Amino acid sequence: MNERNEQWTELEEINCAQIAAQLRAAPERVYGDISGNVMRMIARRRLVVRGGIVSFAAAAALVAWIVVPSGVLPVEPPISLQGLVCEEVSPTDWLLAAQEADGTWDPARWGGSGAYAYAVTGFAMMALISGEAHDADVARAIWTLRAGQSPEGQFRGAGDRLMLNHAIATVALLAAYETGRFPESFTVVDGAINYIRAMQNACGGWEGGHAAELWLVDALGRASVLGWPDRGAHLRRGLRQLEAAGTPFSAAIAEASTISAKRLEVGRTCEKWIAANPGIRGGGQVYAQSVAAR
Amino acid sequence: MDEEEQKAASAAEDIALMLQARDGDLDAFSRLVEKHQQAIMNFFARNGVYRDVEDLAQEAFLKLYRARRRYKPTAKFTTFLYLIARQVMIDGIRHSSRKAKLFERYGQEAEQSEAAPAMRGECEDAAAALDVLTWRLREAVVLVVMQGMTYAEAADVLDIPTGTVKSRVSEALRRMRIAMGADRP
Repeated sequence: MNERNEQWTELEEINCAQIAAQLRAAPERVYGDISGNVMRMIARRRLVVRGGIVSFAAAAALVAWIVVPSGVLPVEPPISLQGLVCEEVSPTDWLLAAQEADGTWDPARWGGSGAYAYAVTGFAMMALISGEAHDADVARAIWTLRAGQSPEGQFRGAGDRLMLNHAIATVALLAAYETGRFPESFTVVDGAINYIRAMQNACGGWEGGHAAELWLVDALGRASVLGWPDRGAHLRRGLRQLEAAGTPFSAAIAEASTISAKRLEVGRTCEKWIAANPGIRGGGQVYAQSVAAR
Repeated sequence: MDEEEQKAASAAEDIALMLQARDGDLDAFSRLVEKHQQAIMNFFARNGVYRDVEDLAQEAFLKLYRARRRYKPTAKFTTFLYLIARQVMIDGIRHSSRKAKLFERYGQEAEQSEAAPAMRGECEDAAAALDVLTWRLREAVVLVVMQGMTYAEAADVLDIPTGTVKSRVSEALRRMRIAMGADRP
């Protein structure tokens, strides 16, 4: 008697064979074919791995060129490590290939710091939402952000850079919501905005430094345009805090005469910040490719 | 060819395809995905994960692909696959705050009352009666009874002794009988 028949006999002995038979006879649900998606995702990953090998080879050549005395080993210097990667894959394709299975991006795997995972995910989302072609990929990121959100609206595990991570992820979520293609993101956006409001201090600022404050006010500004009323004057107080902060961008915000103009100036400052920082160490390749894909 | 011989032939084909995939043959891996995708998605659904089963299945197969070099044909391919799928399912449930509540509910291993009087006779069919089970009982009965694994194969997937699988399956079916009112006089 084989093992399965033995199992069946045992179940009969405990008078459960009938229920087991019913369970075995329960019809299987037929789902859509996922094999195409799986193979496409594998193909993307292989592309990135190949890109990685090319850049590793280029890096090795660069090291050899620098370390080995000229004439001993005639190695041509690489033209550009960045260029080699980009020749293989466009920034958008690179981002899609580097997206984790849960929809987020992990900068620690691409030369950055894991402390900025939410911020980097936000930048990557903003780079992908310009067209509709990658909506499914953005939706996966939104889903994971929602899954990682506490009842207070905080993104769990955002770590030491909590408010900067929170701010940029919220701006990205708002940008996605603004397109009208992700209505399901409402709850996660609403929670994220509530958390920003709850964490604002009496002076109108937040912990996390001026960069975090800039993005947080940008998030509040975008939210006000999209219909989140500023009943607690959180946006106004945030703007006043930025004006009083004495940073290079404070004067321009102070000079703007209306709340709307100040809000636009904050948005422009965020854009300038990105343009002035095409690469930052903590963001690694994911941030750099996100900027390049904009 | 009887059912057992068909299963043996299918298992041998799985191993051959996985070995080819391990050596870089994407066509072989694609055939494995096509062959097992419905079973894996039904495995998730039968364990109470009704939404996002396609996403979870995709993730499971991607993990399988990444782990292909670790595969050794000492065990059945399906054992390796379900081991990965189960981990993906648990991670998926943990990562979702909404589903985390579900996980807690299923994960509570506080013994339910033996007779489960509130549930007695409430379920009309066996599949619905799965909902009365705790997480651990449910996954055991799903693997053995619905996915057709032997106790030993399920024990490998669940990383528990074979005897524990047997007792969980028996207990699960006993509770389901009660829930379905089969014990009513």
